[in-house]
Amino acid sequence: MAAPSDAELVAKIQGGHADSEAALFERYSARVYYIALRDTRSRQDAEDVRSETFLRVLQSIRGNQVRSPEALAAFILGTSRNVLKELFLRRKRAGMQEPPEAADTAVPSHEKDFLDTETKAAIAQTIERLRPREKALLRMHFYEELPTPEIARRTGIAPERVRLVKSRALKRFREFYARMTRAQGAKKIDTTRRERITSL
Amino acid sequence: MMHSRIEDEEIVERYARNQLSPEERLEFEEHFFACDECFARLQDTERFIAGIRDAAEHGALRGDLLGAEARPGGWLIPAFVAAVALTLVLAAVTAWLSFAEIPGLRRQIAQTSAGVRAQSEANASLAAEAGKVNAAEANVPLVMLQSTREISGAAMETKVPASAQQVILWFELPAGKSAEYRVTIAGEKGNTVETIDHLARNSYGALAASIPSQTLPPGEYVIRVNLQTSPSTLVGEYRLKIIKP
Repeated sequence: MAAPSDAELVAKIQGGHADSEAALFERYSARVYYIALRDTRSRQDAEDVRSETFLRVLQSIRGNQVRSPEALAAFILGTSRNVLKELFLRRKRAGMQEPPEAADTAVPSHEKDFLDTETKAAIAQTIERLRPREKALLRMHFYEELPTPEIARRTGIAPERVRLVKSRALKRFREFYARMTRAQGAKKIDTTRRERITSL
Repeated sequence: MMHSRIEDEEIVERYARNQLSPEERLEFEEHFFACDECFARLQDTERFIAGIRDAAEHGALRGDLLGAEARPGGWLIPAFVAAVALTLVLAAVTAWLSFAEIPGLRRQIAQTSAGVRAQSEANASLAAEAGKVNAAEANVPLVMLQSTREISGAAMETKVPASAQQVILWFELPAGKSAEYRVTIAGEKGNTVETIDHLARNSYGALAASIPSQTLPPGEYVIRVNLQTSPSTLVGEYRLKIIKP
């Protein structure tokens, strides 16, 4: 059975279907949390932003304030950004923290949130199948953050092949990771949290 | 935002690495909020980057992996340069040998070969001569020279065959007590052809000596016999004419 469209979800929520609210949360929760985590660099803040976002979204849907149900994704994103702006504004007024846009965001601090056991294991398997200079290439690109021409010069891999090596390694990683999560039933980061919908 | 652009411009990775412009970032966020596929790719890319960085930090992507294979510029190019340099050196050495050294060596070899050949021929000649000397010789010309003080007389003629290797000179001397004599053979122009020292009388009271026939080419000779101990004392003088048919 095909998943309901955003417009159908909106209609059902407006019709009082609690399951549709859960489905909506399940569909967009991870994205809201992800964006919030990137911006706030704090799990707790990300959780708070997510909760506040869905509270406002559901209130808007219930109150028939969503003008275009087909564009529900953009509405949720906009709501998330508003919540984040308000958060940073409050903190700025309190002199606590400047918005992350003004801070050095070259190295995302949310990385650790993606470093679960399955990721590490899949990375280990991926690395095991790489050639030495492909390993060096990935290290230079993602860790040392060297420009592609320099990587090409150091590794002897043509610049146009640097991208190919990266995408091949990523593809392999995705396969390993998917296999592991299927086998172990591991949860992806910030996946559905049905229990929270009840409190919204 | 189109998937083709996302693919071509590596938007997912650049977003994960905070490398998009603010406008691109907002645009991509709007896209992946509505696109399950791109959001899944973004999540996987985040995991992948986090995992790679973690691995690099913990030595799983060690720097020493940048060995020979990882750095063709570090070994292949120098190896190629070394090979080219070696080739050039070999070519230079070969050219030098071909154009400078080898001709000289060839000349030396030719000279040496010629010398060896000449030496071999000389040795062969000497061996032949030695063989002739050592070998018995028949019909050796014997020249009996009579002691006389009349030098104005006709020269004694002697035919020396071409095959003769030696000529034996026999000197009849007047009586005397000297133990040793010197024989000097001079040519027509007074040039000394041969000198033979320490000749002693034989049982016939005469002196005998052999001389290579080639020493006496055809012509007239004056042969003088002096005392060995007093060279100025002339004992006898002889005229000899060698005729070779």
